[in-house]
Amino acid sequence: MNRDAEAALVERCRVGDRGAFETLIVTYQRPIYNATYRIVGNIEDARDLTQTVFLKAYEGLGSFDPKYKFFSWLYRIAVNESLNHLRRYGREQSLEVDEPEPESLGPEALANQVEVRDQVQMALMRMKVEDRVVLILRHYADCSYCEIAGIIDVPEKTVKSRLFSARQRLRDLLETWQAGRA
Amino acid sequence: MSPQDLFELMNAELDGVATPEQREALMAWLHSDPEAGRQFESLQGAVNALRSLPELDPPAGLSDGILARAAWRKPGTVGVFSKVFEAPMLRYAAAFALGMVLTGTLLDSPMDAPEDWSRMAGTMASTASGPSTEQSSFGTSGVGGTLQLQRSDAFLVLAVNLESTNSFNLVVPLSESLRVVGVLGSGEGAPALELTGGQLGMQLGGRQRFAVLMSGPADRVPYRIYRGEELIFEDFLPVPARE
Repeated sequence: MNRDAEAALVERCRVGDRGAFETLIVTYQRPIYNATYRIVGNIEDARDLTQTVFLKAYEGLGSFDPKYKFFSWLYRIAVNESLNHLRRYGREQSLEVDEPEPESLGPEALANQVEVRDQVQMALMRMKVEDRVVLILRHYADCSYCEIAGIIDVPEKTVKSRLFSARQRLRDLLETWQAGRA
Repeated sequence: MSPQDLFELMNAELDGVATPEQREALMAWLHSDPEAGRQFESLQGAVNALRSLPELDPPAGLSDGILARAAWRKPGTVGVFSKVFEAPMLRYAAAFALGMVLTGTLLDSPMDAPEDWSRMAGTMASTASGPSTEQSSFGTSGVGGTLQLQRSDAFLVLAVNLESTNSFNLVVPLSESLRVVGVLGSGEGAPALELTGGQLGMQLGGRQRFAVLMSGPADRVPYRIYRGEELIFEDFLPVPARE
């Protein structure tokens, strides 16, 4: 969705157009749901958090500054809600992978893909949540340095250095798993 | 090339933002330093693994669920409510104003008639639902109890009987068709009230029983329960038909 169309939808939302709100939900629920799942590691929690994100956005539209991307603003709410959730319920240490199995793969390929996927998610969940968030925003949600800086409210330079150390940590965790597997 | 330069180049390449010149410089460096090359390759592998994570489909009905929960909200209102909750002076001012409304209204209202007062007490003590009473019972996140909605001749009476170990907020969104007239405590602790942002907010904790008097042609009375700013439950009570 281009910036002008998005701004028009947000403006319609502000004056109570529920159809516009529905369009924004349908457009953005998927990335928000996926980002929250990768941060908190639980399907049920991700669903609840996605609902909360959109409701908070709806109620907070008055504070949204249209010079920023609506999507970045949604991500900011999503990250804050996910962090609050983890603080509140202490699920940082949850290491159970909670994803449906992919379809249309042979048994061996499926087992291999599921194993890698599960190990990556478990490695993410073993990391510090701050590191996990920057990795997800950069490599999973494709946010720019500038967008990540705005979302987590730190300077761009901090984003870069945090990304570098987070990637090293992820690499170390995956290498440990691969060594154990061999 | 300094370690800082190498760090910058690796970051740029891993993030897909390296210029052709940066990429060329990095490749030359990695070619001349096998250890750096191994490091870069392993980091690239970790990034690729992360990027290969599948995208999950949102659960069916997610957007419908959000729309249903948004049905009783207005865009851009929660900030005002939260700020008032955090501002003691505004809170006391709102409570005082509501108290004035309550006192003035009750002194002039038909509820002063003894039979209406006893009816109110009956509403609050009753656990049975008659034909003109709607009841909602729930228990969630340490808050539990019942809400009953009864139609009297002049008012809608929302009888609240809730218990919680922690403080929580009960919010009734108001509208042109649903106005608050007053609140009557039962002697077990009257709630701290706020009437602001088109909502009646009540800060509660422990065991509390009281009644909210409302009027208007509304066909339902929505309510929400928050712990802090977290919405933990919401529902509505349909207004009972006249007997």
